Amino acid sequence: MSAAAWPAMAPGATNSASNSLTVSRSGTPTPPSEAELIDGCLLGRQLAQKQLYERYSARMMAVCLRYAQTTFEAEDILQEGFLTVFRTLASFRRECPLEFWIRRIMINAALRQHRRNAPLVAVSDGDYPETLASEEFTFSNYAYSELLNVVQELAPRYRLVFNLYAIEGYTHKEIGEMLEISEGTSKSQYSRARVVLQTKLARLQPPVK
Amino acid sequence: MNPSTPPKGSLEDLFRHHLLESEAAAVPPRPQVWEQLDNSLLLAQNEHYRRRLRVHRRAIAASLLLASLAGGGWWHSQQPQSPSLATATGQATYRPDLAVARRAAPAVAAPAPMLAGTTARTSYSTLLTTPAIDQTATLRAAAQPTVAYAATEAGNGGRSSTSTRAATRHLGSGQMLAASQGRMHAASDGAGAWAHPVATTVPTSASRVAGAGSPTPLYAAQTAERTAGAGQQSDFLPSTAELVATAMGGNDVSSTGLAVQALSTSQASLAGAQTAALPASLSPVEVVMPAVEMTRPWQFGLSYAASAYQPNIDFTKAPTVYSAALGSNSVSITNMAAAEYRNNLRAGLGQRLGGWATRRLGSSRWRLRAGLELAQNTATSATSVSFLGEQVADLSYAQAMQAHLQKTSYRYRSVSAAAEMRYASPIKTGFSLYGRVGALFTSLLNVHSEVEGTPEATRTYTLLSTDSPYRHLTASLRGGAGIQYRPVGHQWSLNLGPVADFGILSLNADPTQDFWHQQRPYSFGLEAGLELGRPLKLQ
Repeated sequence: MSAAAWPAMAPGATNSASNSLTVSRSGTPTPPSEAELIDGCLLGRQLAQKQLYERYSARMMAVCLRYAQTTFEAEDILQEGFLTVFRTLASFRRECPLEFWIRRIMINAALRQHRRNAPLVAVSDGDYPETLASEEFTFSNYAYSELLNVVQELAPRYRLVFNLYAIEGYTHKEIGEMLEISEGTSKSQYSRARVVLQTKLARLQPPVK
Repeated sequence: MNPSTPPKGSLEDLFRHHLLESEAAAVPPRPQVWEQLDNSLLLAQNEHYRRRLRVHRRAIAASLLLASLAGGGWWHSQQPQSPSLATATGQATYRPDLAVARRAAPAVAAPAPMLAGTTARTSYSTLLTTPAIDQTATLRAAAQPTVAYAATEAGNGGRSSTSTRAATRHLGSGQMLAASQGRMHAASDGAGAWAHPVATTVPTSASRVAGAGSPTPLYAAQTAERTAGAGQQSDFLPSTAELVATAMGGNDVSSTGLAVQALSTSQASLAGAQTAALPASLSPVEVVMPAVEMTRPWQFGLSYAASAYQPNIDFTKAPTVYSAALGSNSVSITNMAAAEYRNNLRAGLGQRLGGWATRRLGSSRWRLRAGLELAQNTATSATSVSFLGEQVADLSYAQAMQAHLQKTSYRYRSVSAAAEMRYASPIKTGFSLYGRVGALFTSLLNVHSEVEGTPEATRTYTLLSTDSPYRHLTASLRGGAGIQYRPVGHQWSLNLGPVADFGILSLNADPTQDFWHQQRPYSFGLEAGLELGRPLKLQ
């Protein structure tokens, strides 16, 4: 994975105070560390598994939503991804943040889901121009839900390529290997996805000149 | 960046800003997701424990089997050797009719050559034995009456064995044949050991006969005996030696016949005297001394095996072949159905009936077996979607509406051609061990599968079914070991032992996995067999 993806993995996943496993000497419950959670999961402790899930599920759900067309599909991906996490946790070498590792697993689960569904889904590009001029967007003019909907409305292959390239930071070569397509195809599909997104955003808000 | 102006950026920046920034504050998934996940983890954990338990059970069963085989082998090794085993190892024991034949043969041949010397041989139980080659030499001599031999026999009266040397020497132009090779074994352990005067008398006679230049073929025998023990002596030996010396000195054929008769009589008396002199615990035992003879190279037999058969089949298909009847959930439902099928798949009873032809490979312990087998194997599974494993790709919505697990059953009938190498003793009687390894090619004749309570789901595939999801022809490896029982004096044997089959090819005709990751059938069981005929015959 490219280094561009690393900033997206900024820690800060301790979003739940109810995750406490241990109690400090002062009596204040302290959330278990990442290593403690991993060790607990490796020992098969259900509580540790649940705490690990609660710690990362919301963030990973956001990842899955970008790759899925519906919330249900995203939950399927999330479930499959966490199953893989718990089954293969012993192979985690602790050389990078756990969140990064889980995120990678979620993306792989999304890819598998895409491979399974791809033949059943008809791809329709709709009527869009071939290219659009580059333009700037004012961030505050758009809401998260609007942008998420726009991404989810993309054709599956476009959605994948756009997410992997623009959000996760993979290169077209890496994307080509992951999706078993050529680098040129990846670039082409990204270009088409970009045009579709620009057109849809233009319908949402007039661009700021 | 100027704080008064709102942040702007490219399309990528816009999405990255919003999508990544909002991840931390994303809405967590519904609680049901964790419940489903927890349930799946529990199922996976149970499956893990089940597999571990299965491995432990098999390890325990293998250990018990190994221990029982080892114990049986040890017990068998502790049993006294059977007569046939003594023959197989080259030991020969006393046989009265053979002794008579030996005595009679020189007497019959007496008119032609001048013959002096015969042997009478007696063994006492297994402690007093004679090498088997001695018997062979005796039989050869009986078949060629013009050749006689001189035997020197040294009897060890109490301890280990009797050593015999036979030597024949041609002297001069071949007319005269004198044999005189006697070995007197020096006593090393008996204070009362003595060398009888005959040992010195007979060589003298033989030398004299040779020096006389008699034209008649002449045979001289020299017997040296040493008796160790309590100083038991026989009074017959001096007279025997004198008779022999007289016959030789006289160069008279008729007198030679008399001498032979006298020698036979005296040696028979010697045997009686020795018998009478022995303690009761060493009384002569008459045992059969069978000879080994090669018989026909083919053996034929039948076998029956009962085993636990696991089809271990994975019907996961490529998504392209899944039925689209279930809409967007086709893939997940069919995958779930295939996983459920495998999770609930249980081994069933497998039975095989086989006919075998076995060919001996030389006189070695290896034999080549070829045969035909008819087999019927069963297996069960359970499903909540009212499907049979092979119907994963054809699921319809109506079939997916079942709410509870239903038992499904499978029956596979097949015919196999097998070839094996078998390792076993060809002559050993009683209990012995055997091992075998081989391969078999199986043609699946018929597969019948049904869901309990759903007759419309019943399927039957035959060899002619073009839509059969099963391979029509499979191959597998087989190995086994066990105990063989061959009764003395009979031309049949029984075999009993564990046997294991491992499939080389998957049962699924169109697996999506690569070759090394395919799920293959296997079975473990017990096989009993009956073989008729034996490659080496004991006469």
